[in-house]
Amino acid sequence: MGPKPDRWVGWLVAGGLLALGPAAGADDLLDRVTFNGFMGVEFERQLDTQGFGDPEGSFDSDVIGIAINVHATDRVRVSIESDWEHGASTGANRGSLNLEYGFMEYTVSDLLKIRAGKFLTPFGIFNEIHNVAYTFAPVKLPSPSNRTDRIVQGAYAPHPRWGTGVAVHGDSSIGGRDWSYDVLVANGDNATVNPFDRDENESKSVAARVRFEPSPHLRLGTSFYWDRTMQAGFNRLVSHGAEGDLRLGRIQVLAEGIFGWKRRTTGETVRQIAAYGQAAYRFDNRITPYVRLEFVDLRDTSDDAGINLITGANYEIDRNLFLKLENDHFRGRAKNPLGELPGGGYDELKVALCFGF
Amino acid sequence: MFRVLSRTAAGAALVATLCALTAPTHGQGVKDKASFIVIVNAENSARDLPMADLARIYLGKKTLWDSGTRGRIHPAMLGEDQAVVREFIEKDIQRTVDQYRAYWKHMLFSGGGTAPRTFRTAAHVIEFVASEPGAVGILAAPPTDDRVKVIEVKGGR
Repeated sequence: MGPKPDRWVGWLVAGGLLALGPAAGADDLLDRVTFNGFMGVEFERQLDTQGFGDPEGSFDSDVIGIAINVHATDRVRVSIESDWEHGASTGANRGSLNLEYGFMEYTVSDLLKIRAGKFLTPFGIFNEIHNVAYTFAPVKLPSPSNRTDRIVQGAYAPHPRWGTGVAVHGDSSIGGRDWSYDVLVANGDNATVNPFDRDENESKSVAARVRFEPSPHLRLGTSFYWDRTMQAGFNRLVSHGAEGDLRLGRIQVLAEGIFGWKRRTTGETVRQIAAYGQAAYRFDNRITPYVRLEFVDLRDTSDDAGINLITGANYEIDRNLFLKLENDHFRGRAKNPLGELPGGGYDELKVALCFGF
Repeated sequence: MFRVLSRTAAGAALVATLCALTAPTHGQGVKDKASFIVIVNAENSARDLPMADLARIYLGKKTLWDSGTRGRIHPAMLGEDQAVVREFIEKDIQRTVDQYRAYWKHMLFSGGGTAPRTFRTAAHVIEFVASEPGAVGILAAPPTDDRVKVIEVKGGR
């Protein structure tokens, strides 16, 4: 049994600081270590009498996170992000304390940075910043990217949120156009043991992403995930993703499509397609209205597709302090539990106050 | 087969249209003389820097020097409220200041790296570059400190 997850932070920080060497003075230490963080508090209330949201209206001490980067040498970096979610109180078994990522990196060149540790799976746009709400316009990350079950019952996550293993990252350019890649080889999903400590099979999961910028205002990318998953009743998970990030002046448009399948141990596959498109416009007065349309469909089940149309706005009250207000409009087809509700779904009000530093 | 080809052609046409819409305003390789000064530590052997590399340094995509010790690059600049920095971000990095900040938030919290150091005054930028052999800084006017030197910025983004 390895160290508990909450001890990883301490071990990684200690390792990074030791790597600074005995000659590093106090000034050197401060120059080589950076601390950053973020916080989010939310309020949600279901606006319809029936639905799957929060009919009472609740405050949520959603998250407080700390990110630490230690540039131990010119080529060695330790990067850690840990967060406390939903007012974490381990004594009362409430909330959670997570090491979101903690890895060591050695820079061979800008094209080859070798990393080892725990990572957020490099797939699509949002997984690696899923809880850092002040970095994106709406209150929550898009459901199609990892929480498809919010829209379609029985839908699955296209990849695990985290993985422990080794990774490589690189940046370069071709003909003046920037491109980058990420590859993570990790334990993958486990059924019973801690996947950040041991694997239950010899096969390792592979996540990969390539991004290309045909212009400074447009980034296109594609992601891939493969795993001999150990989730109960399944033995294979394969996902493909395509992403686009377009910036035209004050307009930003994000779009992502994810399709793939899970194979049951009995042999049949469960195919899924999920997608979203999001547009936002930032005004001079620091108000940013936004709209996002999310879609999820299990391809082998007829008439179960669902959508969530999000309309809202955020206001940057002070530098990096955002107030967000939005309506989530969930609707489903006839065989989706959402579709069985009066009106074919429900609406939910979401308010969030987010800060980062 | 025809459907696959037609969809591929439609996709390619969409990307081409987006590229045309988002073409750099300066034009590739063509740019007016930089309105800012780039300084490095006097011990740095670099004499010039392509504009594309400078932009990639301030986006965290280029982190090592090509010459000398091939050590880590430590980028520094004035705050985003300074005209010289705003101009650099908007014209040469080709993002709005808000987009540039958002870019670095994503980079930072996804484990990609840390943002360039920012300082309140040119004197602080000069002091940082003078004390850090791998540093590079952006100023509005040439410094009068022989611990740092000005390097030429070549080409366009």
